[in-house]
Amino acid sequence: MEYISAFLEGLTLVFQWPAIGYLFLGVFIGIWLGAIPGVGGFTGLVLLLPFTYTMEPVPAFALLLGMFAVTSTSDTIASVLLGIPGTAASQATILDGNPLARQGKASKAFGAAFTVSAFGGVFGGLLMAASLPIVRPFLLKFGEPEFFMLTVWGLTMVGSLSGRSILKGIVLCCFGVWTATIGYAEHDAVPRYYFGVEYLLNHLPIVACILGLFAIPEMLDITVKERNISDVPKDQSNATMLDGIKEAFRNWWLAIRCAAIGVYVGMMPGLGQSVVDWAAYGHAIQSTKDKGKFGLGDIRGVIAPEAANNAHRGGALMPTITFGIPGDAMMAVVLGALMIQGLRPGPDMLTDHLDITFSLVWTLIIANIIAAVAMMIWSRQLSKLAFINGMMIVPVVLLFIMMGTWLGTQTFGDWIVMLIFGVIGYMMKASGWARPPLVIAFVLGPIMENSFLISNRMVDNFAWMLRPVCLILLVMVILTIVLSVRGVINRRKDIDLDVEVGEGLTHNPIFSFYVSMFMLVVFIAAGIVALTFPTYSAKQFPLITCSLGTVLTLYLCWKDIQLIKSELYSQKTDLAEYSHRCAEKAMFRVSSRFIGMMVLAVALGYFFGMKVVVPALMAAYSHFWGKFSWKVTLVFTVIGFCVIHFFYDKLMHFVLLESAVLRWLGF
Amino acid sequence: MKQLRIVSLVFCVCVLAGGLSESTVQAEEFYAGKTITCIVPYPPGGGTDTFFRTMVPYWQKHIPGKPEMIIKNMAGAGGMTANNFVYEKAKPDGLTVLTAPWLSMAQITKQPGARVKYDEMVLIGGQTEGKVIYISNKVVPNGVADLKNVKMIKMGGLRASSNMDIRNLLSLEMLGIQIKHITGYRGGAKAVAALMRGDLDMFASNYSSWKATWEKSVQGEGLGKAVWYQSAFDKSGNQISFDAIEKDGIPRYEVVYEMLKGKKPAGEKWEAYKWFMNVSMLFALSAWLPPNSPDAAAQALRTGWYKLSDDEEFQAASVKRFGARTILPPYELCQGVVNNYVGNPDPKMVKYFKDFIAKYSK
Repeated sequence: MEYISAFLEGLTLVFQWPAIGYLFLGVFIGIWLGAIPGVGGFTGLVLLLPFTYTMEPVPAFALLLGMFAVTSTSDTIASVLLGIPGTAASQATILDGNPLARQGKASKAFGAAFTVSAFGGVFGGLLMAASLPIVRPFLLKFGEPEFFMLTVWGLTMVGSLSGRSILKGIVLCCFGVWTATIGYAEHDAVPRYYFGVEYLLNHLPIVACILGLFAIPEMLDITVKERNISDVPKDQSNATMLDGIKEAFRNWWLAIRCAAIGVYVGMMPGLGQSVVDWAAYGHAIQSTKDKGKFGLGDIRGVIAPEAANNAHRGGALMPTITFGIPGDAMMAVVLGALMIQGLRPGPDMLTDHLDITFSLVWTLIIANIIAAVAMMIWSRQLSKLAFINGMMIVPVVLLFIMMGTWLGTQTFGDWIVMLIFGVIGYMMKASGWARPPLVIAFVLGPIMENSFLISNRMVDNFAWMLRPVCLILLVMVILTIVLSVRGVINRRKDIDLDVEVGEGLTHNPIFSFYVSMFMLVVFIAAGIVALTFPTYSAKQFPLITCSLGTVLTLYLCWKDIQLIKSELYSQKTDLAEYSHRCAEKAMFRVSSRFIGMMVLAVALGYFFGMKVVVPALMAAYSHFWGKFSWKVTLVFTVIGFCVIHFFYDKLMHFVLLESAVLRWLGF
Repeated sequence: MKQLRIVSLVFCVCVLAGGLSESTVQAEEFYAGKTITCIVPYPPGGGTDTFFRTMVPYWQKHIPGKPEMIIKNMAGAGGMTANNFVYEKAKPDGLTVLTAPWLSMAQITKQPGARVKYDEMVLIGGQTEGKVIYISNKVVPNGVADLKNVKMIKMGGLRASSNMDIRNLLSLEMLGIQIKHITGYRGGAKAVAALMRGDLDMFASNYSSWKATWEKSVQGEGLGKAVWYQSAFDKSGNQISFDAIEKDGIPRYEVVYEMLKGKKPAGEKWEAYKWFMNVSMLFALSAWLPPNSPDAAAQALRTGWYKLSDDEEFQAASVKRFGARTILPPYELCQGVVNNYVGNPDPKMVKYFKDFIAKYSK
């Protein structure tokens, strides 16, 4: 009874002035920050935190959590319209959301996404409220051994996300896990793949990798094909937002399951929001019979991640409040905010401050509802963006790609990483290598390695594998592998081999061979370097991934060669002519020019600073590629400069790339 | 002749007075209308970031000229990126300040990527606090005296070369307790969760983190207890005591050692321990200007920094947020550590700790 009265008291606190005003303000800020790729809730929390120092706890958290709760609602815009993850929590949404936008069904995708986002947020909040008294023993069951098994289970999802070749998915897993080993080994004083470059002491930043993998190929595609976001003219598009809302209700059971996944992934400290959408997306594929349309604009591919990523917020708050254990960087800021308010996380939050704890729950719930309604109104206008000239959108998106990437670690290396992954992403997209397995492995790799090594140091002889939760997870791993293999076989029957627009479905054996060769060289070189690491634990994971990767890639190279041979025979052509055709299919020449422009911009950025070069890049693109007038070009340039100068520099106080030339000249 | 001497004396006094007043005026006016950028080498939201975001608004009020101050986060390479940036690239114009824990051992042991040289930087001031060590109740159900019978402890840490790991490993080695060193715990959160589960026996935190978070969820829940605290050593070689920690009933390490071993600590390990504690803990968080920065800037910043000790509003905020008053050791003491320990490190100690790290890295 006391619990229920505190629950209602929490609601009253949120509706009191000024808390409700701050809640609306937080939601408004959150919607904007989530919509800008690369910015997201973390930046928002840091930006708003100083304003809460002198506020009372309830209004302070209404502002912070109001903003934090809804960035995963508005991040859908970039994912659907641009094929760029708005935040790390909406990576999987692009797989089906963007194809829907290309089919002229952006409104439908938005309708479904915002409905399940609101549902996920409310579900997450309520489940959090219901679970608070009993969550402690559950959380204490998950130690490092269980985390390791969870990550292994996560990696088995690649079976469902590898397009036509599960083997390529496994190779990409090896590549992703290896990439995650770059930088200081967490457990040893050993910098791996450092080569004297300070930047490589860190792990590669995830935002730079994701924007490179997804955003660069997407902008390139719009540019070289000179297309709009939608391939369908506006007058032929008959999908509405109401259709999307209906789809959300039709798939209510999927939404509930994925929201539950969101809450429980959120509760696991260390897994973070980068994992949650993939977990839900993987579950959606594995749990449905008709998998053939996933990746081609299946609305369930939007519903699953969007229900999960909003529900995740409620789950993530639980360990932070009940133990003081923040699950990720955002929760660390929330924990800091609790401390600033003089609140001590732990049992007190469930006894002395239970009303405040419930006010946090209500803040999440109300914010999600407000955001969904606001987004539905706003996105009526946004959906129209899909039908305007794509060349008008690319310069603005380039601005956010460059700046979003920069926010990773705010060093020049971020841009280089983005470019490298941009080229890899283009090659993969052009050659039928699905990108999601690489991202999943990259996200899970460090957690996997760290948990494995800690488990081995904690308990000898792999005895940790016998812990009850580990055994349950092991069974689930085996089941998932069996289901995945069966699913891939069934899916092959469903997939129309002529359709090449989904992830991993493009048929281009020559480019696939190039990617295989690239992987092979990387695996061999990285494996040899790993042999020089001074400790066994530092070299263990790189060696395992490189060895497995080398063997599988050798097989893939051989398979690609066989395929090329058979194509040469069936098409009655020679290798030079066939290579030329494959390059044309991948639009290699135009794509090289686009990538060349990006490389030049990054190089010039070093010399002239980002305030000059990023607006110049926008100007160059709009004038030379978009063929817009000088007036339009000037408008883009001014917008670029103002956004960087006023938003990123003066408002957000980010460290910006300054001009080396000016520094040499002593300015 | 006498007249000449008097004239000379008057002239010298005038010059000195003029110089002094000019210097005071310079410090007064140096920051008027200017903006200082404070570089924090870790992402927002962590302990260092929260401390400086709390401190800077108060510091700003005490700096002559009352400049604007903004905080920028430049994370990377365990803090090395920002340290190298301020040392190598920041303009020495007094407008860029490194606000960070100083990575003294990184410079002394020449860790990869460490190019910063603190003895060439301009120190503004330092801050210090104790480190609290807590152990699971399964190991010490009745109190720290139970350690007499403990054969082995599962100690959580980050990596063998981290300051926290070195301090704790040495503490346990001196007590003769066998250590299972489990590394890889980034920050306290996961390690404390492991301690709650029984996967770890021991971990350590800043006193502020202990008070703000772990005291309630570890000690309050009966899962473990704070057994001692670590701090630097005074000129007489005694461990410096912190009133706030003592009031909580947490003893100093040297007291615990004496209780368990029946004698005062001494010997090579003890000397190494003291040396290391002074390098890493006489002051921890600190503010620095790039080499060759103007004296007037340093003087103005230092004036503001040390006025914080008596700023009751700031200290009240410190108690509310970090559980204790902020202690700012005297500038001369901090500069002495930079000159004597880092600028001119004892080669024997450098070798000792390189070998020590290598031993635990295997």
